[in-house]
Amino acid sequence: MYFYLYDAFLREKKYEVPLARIEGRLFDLGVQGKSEKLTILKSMKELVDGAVKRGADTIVAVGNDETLSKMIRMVADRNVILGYIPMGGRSAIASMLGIPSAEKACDVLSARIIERFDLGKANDAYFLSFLQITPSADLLLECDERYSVEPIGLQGVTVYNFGFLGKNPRDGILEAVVQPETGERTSFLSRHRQAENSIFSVRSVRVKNLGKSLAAYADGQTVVKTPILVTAVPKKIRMIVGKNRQVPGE
Amino acid sequence: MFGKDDDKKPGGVESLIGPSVKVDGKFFGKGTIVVQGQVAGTMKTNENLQIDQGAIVKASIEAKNITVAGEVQGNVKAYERLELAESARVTGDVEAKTISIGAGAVLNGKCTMAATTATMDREGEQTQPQNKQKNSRRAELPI
Repeated sequence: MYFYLYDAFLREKKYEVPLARIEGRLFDLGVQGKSEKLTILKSMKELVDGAVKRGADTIVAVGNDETLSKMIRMVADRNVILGYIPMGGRSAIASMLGIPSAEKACDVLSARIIERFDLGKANDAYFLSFLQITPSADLLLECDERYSVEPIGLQGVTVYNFGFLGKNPRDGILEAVVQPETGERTSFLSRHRQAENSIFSVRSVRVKNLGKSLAAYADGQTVVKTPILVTAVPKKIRMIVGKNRQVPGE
Repeated sequence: MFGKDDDKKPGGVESLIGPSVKVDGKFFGKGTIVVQGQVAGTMKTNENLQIDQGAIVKASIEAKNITVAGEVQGNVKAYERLELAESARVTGDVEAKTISIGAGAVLNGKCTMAATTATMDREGEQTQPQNKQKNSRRAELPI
């Protein structure tokens, strides 16, 4: 049984027509199901809990990457399959999963190609793509309980599970990238191309700092503060992917 | 931002220790490792290890092929080839099947030519015996 969870921003008038088309397409393909919209009165956890209790085995996030990231944290420990219909602009995660946007994503759901992916876990919070830790001059990384990495000067740390640097999200390995902060206004990508970056392949990394706790953003959202233990959780989640998904490193 | 061209690590490198980090402890890898910063402890990999000019490694190191252009204080063991570039400064014993030493490189230690093979699991334990067939050619270079 399918359960569709619409993000709150889809209540805007401009989404009425696209959503009607999506619902029509889902019906045509025979993959329609119960749907709910997030509101300030209905939390995602409450809606997902209710759907699972009622027997939903496939939960579909309808929204943007933020919606999907929140959903991953809700369903990672449940025995359900996660689908995604991206709406509202370009979605980096949808591209990685080979899922086209809006109506065309319904065909991907219907084809039901399922893959198991690793997740990253930062303390108790799961993430699919990356965890970004606020730059600091006093960071220390303890990798795989074997060696430590001490960045010199003001540096940021990003731990990737999926999507960057040829990362294969099915190898049980995370990649910790330590990048110096130059103070220059540079794009996110160009920072990752800097010659002074360091890259470490790890199963786990503990990130700590001496001073005030630093915020860490899992898939772009604040979830945890230092000290943070980041671990790879192999094959933790089942997701519906597009047939054209490119598999890095394979 | 997640374009195809951006989804590659530089040159198939598994680990890159940049010039602005210090690493301390047991650093074991399976792929190619490039060192541009500072390392203390132990380094091992089944693949290539490249120590760039400016890097300072105070560790015993083992890899399939090793290229040194920086400074190493510790024993060096290459299962296949060891290359010391002109800017290399090595203080420690070195062992390899093939050794290439550039003019101007500094090597203070014993130099042993041996048929050396070994592989490691990820925990850094050797899974095949090293020095399968010890070669009688043993050279000591008082450089």
